[in-house]
Amino acid sequence: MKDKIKNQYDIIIIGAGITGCLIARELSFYGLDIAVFEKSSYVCSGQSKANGAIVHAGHNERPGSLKAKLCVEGNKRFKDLCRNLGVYFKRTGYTLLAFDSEELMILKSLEKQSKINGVRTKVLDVAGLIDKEPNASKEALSALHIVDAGLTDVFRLVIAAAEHAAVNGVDFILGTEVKGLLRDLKGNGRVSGVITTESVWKAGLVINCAGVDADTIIRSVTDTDFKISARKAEYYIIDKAEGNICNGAIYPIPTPYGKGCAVIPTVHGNTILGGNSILADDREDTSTSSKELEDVLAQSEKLVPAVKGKKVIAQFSGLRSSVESDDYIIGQQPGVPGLFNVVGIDSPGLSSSPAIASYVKDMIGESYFDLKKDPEKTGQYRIKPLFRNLDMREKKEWIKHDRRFGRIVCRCENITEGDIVSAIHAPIPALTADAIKFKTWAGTGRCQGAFDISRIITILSDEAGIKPPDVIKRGRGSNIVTGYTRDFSGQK
Amino acid sequence: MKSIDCIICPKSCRIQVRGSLRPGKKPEVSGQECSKGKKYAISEICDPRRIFTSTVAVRNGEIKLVPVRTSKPIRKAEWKSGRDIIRGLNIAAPIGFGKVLIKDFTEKGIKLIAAREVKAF
Amino acid sequence: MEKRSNNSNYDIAIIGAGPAGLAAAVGAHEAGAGSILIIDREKYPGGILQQCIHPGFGLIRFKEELTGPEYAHAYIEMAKKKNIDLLLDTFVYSISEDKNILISNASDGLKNIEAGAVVMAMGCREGTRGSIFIPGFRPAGIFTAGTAQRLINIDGLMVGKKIVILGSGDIGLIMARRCTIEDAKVEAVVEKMPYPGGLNKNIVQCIDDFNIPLLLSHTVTFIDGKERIRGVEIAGVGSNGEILDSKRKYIECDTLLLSIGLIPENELSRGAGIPLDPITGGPYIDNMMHTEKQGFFAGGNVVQVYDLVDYVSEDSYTAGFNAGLYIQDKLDMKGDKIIIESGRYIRSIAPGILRIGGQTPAKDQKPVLSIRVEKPLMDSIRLSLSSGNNIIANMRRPYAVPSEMIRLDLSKYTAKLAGKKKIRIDIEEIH
Repeated sequence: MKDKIKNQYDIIIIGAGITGCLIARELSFYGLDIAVFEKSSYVCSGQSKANGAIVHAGHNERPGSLKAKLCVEGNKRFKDLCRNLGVYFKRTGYTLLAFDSEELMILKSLEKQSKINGVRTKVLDVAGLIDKEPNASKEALSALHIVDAGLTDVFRLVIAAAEHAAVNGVDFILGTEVKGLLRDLKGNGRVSGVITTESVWKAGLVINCAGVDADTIIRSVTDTDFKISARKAEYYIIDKAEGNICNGAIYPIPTPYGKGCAVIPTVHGNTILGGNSILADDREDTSTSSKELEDVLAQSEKLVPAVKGKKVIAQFSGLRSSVESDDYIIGQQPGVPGLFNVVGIDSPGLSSSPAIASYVKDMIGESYFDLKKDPEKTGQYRIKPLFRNLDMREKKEWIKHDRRFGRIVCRCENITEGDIVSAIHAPIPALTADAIKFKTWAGTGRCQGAFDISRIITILSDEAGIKPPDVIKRGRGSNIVTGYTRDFSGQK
Repeated sequence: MKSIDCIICPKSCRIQVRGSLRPGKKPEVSGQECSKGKKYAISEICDPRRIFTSTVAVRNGEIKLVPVRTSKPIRKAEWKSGRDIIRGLNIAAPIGFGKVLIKDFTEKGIKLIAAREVKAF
Repeated sequence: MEKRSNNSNYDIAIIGAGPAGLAAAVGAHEAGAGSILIIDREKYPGGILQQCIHPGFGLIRFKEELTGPEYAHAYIEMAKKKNIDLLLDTFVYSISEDKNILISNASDGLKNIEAGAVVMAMGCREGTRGSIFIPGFRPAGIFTAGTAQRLINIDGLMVGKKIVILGSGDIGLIMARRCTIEDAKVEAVVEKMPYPGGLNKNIVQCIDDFNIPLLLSHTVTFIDGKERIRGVEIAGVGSNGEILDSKRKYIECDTLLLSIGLIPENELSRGAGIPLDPITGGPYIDNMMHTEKQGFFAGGNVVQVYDLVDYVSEDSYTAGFNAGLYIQDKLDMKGDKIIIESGRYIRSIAPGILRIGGQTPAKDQKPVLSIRVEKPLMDSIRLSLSSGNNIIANMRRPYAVPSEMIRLDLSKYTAKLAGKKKIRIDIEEIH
């Protein structure tokens, strides 16, 4: 177990989303002291938690852009990355539907663009579309099938990468917001660390993966016009019991604002609808609104009429950081040595992430640190699977070693007490209700946690010593219950 | 004249009670459609009472709370004192089903009873 | 009764040790079944009754007003028989069509149980925020009423200090009182219909007694608060269910309790291939509480949402009893099969099929219909039972409301029903 957290690092990464965690993991194999700062109480709590989990292949990216290059490369690396970490990935492909002549023209230009980017596509007529996707709208004139696109389990990917980095010695400093950066007043005005509300931490290099807040970080040390716009996407989750609606995601023809609202199968067996992109005034606003949700439903029903009337179990929304240049910004902040930005990582950020991590590592190795592999560091790490995904023989083995795998805590998703306890004691401990939810999927089913919350509070109390009134959902102030009803201090 | 909405059945007749409510006197009751309503109206106006239920902390039990109830309805206005008495209680397991935890709860003759058995841990 | 049983084979397996499962076990025992197993995922029997600490149970069954735990106790005692085993803290993963039950618990791990007959008694779950699409943030402080009840009454944890309750069904009203007694301020009970969902008795004893505002024809339109609820926006609801912007209001609170409906929990029924009725949410059953899958019976809230536990016990006893007869080859399923149709004002009727005649004694056939009307009918009504153009019977009732299930005992009409293929229940208002 790690001894106390230092106050000086070689590298400090701001943000524990997909970008920050994959970069942390990539850099963790070398002899460097690294810390990841995350304002939320667990990893994968920002943009990375609210998306469609789609691994794009690069059909929609401007040729020659960094997005195009890294998306195509990221897509190619995705399968191996997931296999190494023990995370789900499936190359399902997905289809875009064109409904009129204008959309048909855009479809054709996307086909051309894909060719330039090196992305495999196939144009389908209605018969071909229905053959691939029996529930797709028969009103579509034509469809573009993106062969190499896929689906993954974003939460477990981010968590697995973070845990691998943690096992290799990276410190994850959660629940700690970086408010600004330290900058040397003399010399070349180098960034020398980060400032949080509690303390100051020094670093040789700061990597800014702060998502929607990345511009605030930059502005803390330099005058700049650079601004990140937060764009909100809202989603519906359909009950698993409604079955398989589509084999791969089904998209509309994209607009300048993004890929649009899609019907997306997930690794968990649900279908989700969503992905519209609305400019959000408030960076903290992850609320859902009835108007936007209605639009999501309407757009989804147009693509897949079968969606109408399906039982919905939840809605969620998330923000993405959008930049004017509409391309990733990866590199040193001009005029500010010591600050390395990995910013504007909106779609296809997930798909690009393995390539982004590698690209960043190369740049760091070239300009900042001598990267020498440390033989002490663990090359391989697989995230502990959920009990429900094991075969019968493995299940019986696991129960033999820890009987708590025999007791179910989340009834709708078949999550055991053993899974919850493992999450609490993982390399990055899951100590809030949401962290346990992200890690184990408990509470995401059709009862939405009504059955398990009482048990999760008890387990957190028993295993992590957190008094029930102190158990929080997500961040400070999100206590689930407000206190005891009686004085239980006399009890065992 | 006092009026109440009856709760005996969903028709919820609005019942008026006129005249003296002193013991021994017979008030005038109107608006009810059955005799149960008349009885309810008189008691609800003269001496409204409710069965009081809550939970009491348990020491060394298999469960940490025992549900409790009053043996008879208590005066409606006394629910707060009842609640406060219960808050201060702490009973050791084992607790038998129906055990009398307090003999005279908010008034003489009304007991506080355990509504569930609690075995010792 | 509780045994760490090593048996893997039972005549009857009952899924759920709540009021339905316990009554079914008693029924199976009294019918002469050899071995009976009740399985429950909770650490104690009694089901939801153990957290329903308020009175209102047993008025019909025991002619006394009992609290939930006391009612549970009565049935737990009745089920203490040599041939009834109880497996607690045990989860049922699945039930196959041929009655192979995969269970799991911490002591035995994964295990298969074979049963000759199965009684489904899994009860209900509650409607969630996500199922009615309330927009807003997703902070801490949102609970279903039942979860709040469990946290307060079983775990000893208080859910909040300033509470808004959505839904005026009985659970919401009961929790309005419970939270007030535990020192929280209940700011309002908000109900989207123009009439309350629960019994009048609860309106008086939970709302009026504690001066809690009851806002009819209103609903919650936004949940505010990033980490914990800061408040909710409510708005008026028009006669067509439309939101009235003119009647929007913000209520500061830290907790929202949802009492918006119960849903029979039939995941296991689906897995066993038991056909479900979309109107009741539970399996299609006949009056002997037999589903459309051979040897599978069902009782209690898993069949339809009941209002009185007394009727749950009655019908589940029937389910268990007939499962017991079935296992001894004494249940005659070859009687007349009569389909029941519902007419005006009726939201749901269960069972949907009557089986009468045949060798099974009439007293065990129990042709009792449970009817729910779709809206309040406060004037006298006439319930008529007809077949084709023939009116078989007429019954008069002073009123009918959605929150009270109408129980229609057709025992005295079985002779008139013999040979019929379809019967219809109609409701007429008598002015």
